Amino acid sequence: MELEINRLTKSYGHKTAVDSFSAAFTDGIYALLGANGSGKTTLMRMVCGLLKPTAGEVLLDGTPISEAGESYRELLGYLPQNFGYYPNFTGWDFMMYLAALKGLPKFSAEERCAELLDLVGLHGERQRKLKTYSGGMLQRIGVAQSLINNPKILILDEPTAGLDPKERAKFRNIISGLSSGRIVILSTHIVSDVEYIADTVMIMKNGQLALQNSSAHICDAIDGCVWRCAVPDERVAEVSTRYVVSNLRHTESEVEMRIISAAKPFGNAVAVTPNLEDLYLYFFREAQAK
Amino acid sequence: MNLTKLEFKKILRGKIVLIAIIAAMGLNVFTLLVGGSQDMYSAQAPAFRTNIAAIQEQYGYFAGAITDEWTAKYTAEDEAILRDPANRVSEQEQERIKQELRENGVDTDYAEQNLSVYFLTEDARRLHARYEPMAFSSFWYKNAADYAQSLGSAYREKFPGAKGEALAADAENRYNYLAEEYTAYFNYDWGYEKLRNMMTTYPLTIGLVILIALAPLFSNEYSRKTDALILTAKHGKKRLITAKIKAGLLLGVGIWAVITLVNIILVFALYGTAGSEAYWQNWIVDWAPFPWNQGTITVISVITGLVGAVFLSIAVMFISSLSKTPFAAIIAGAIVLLLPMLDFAFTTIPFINRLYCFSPSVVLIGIREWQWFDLAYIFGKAVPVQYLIGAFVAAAGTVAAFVSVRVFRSHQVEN
Repeated sequence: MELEINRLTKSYGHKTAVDSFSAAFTDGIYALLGANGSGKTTLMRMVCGLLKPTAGEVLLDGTPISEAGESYRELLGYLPQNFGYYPNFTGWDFMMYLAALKGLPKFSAEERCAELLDLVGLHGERQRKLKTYSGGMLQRIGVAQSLINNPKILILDEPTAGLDPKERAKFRNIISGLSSGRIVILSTHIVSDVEYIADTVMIMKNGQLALQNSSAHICDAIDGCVWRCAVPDERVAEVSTRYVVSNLRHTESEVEMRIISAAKPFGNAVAVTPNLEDLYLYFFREAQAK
Repeated sequence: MNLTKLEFKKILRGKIVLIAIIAAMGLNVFTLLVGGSQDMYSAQAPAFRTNIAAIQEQYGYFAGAITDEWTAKYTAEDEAILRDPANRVSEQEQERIKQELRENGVDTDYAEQNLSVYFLTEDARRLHARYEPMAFSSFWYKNAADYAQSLGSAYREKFPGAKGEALAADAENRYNYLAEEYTAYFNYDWGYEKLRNMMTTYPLTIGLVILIALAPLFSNEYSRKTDALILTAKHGKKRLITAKIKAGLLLGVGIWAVITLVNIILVFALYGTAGSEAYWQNWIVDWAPFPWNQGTITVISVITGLVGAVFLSIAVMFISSLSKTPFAAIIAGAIVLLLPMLDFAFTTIPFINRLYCFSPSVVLIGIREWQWFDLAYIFGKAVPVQYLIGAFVAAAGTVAAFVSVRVFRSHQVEN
């Protein structure tokens, strides 16, 4: 199964939210990293068929998804950003309703919903109304509903928003366990969410695909651009304005800074192995500056 | 799983919908029991039961086909009451009454010659009063003939030429049929009258429930952002929308059926079922030339009300599909529902009144569509406007349902 995005564009008047985005997806976990407003959500909505592109198309095994219709949606699982719910539904009713929408027969729906609620740790809370759920619980039931139909294409828009660190770790484990035999695309601006689970990382900037590589090699793009150096305390402010600083740590007499720069910033700077957070900061330094 | 059932449950899940249903049922029963301008219509037992029984007996005495013989027989009985000297007040009292009449400018000789009720005893007056509905009904055929003449003249005057002639001829044929060939029957028929009268409250009972329950049907999905979940699900763009429409219609028809059934049971229990064969045109409010009796016009009105409930449900769902929030849908729906009920404010503008007859809430009232008569001239033929309303409801309902489906299916999920 191959999902292909072909020069996908979405414009609102003069503003282009997604600009000629092209990519191909086969089985695996794809992390779409980007700052707020970089076009991730718009792209995902177009991939889900919720928004008509201004130009370009999304193809599943060569067939445009607009033509595939129901047979495409049958394969799809989607967790929207800030997903909507029915406050007067219990967790169980909500899951069963969506199971019906996804075409599951009643018996297997009951079994599947129970299994998923257990997976996200909400089985004990299933008879409570959704309006009584916390933000984290709602996000977890959102993840559960996206998995009801055992989707071959799973699209998760900011799935870890509102989750505490423990819940985020659990979510990462769930997604890791789901990776075989399906395409998982998840968007986030939280780097640590994808660092360990993504097979491929895609960086989206200004509506375009700025960089794509396997998670093992994605940081190659800034190899030799990340430095560790010690800076006197009084120079920290000045250095911070001149360079992208991914980390700083105060020691007794000075400050140890992690700087992203194409050129060696100081004589005492030592090149270090870049990580995904460095890469993110490198690409979104303007956004950081703003 | 049955999506229609799930959608129907979803509609009823809102507390406000349940409150609306209870309020509508309460208002309906309250109006039925104590509403109406006449004392006889108010169900204050046991006086009510006694009064109804007395009226039923009074009207039932004259039950039968309105013929010349019928009129002659009962007119003679009435005249006998008026002529019977035993029914007259004393000479002294008569003189006093005459004096009073003269002071008020009444020609007492004329009053006496015409068997005036002024000189009857109280008991005789009551006896005579029993004959008033009969006397009124004896003019039934004449009233039909008068309508034939006046409507014919009105059409010819308003539309000189072939159009006016076609309209006038059609109207004259219909009314002359009633005047010359049709046989009208007289009987006690208050049950049927009351049942149709209750339909005038439908927009405030059935209409309100439909509005409150169905305005959020689609708009709630937009405002709650559940549209993204629905439209990415396998059945979200086809079966679910059909299920929503079905559930909406089920709600509309369901609430109509419950309220209509309650009305039928209560009204017939209180007023009786007699009189289905009686005439229904009173030539004041109900003057359409359809050759039906009380039973037929009531059944037709009830069916029209059902069509109205379906039409209104579709109209509200259509508005819902176009509205971003349930609140906006309720406001827009309320305008559609309530504006035509304000027709008393526009009685001087016949065009607007006629236009209102095409609105869902007037169709919901049912009887409102059959009380009057007007003809349209289409392709050289005279067609009753009621038929056009039927065609409009079918076409507009279908288009609105189709558009609602299209709008929701192609809805773009933005921010």
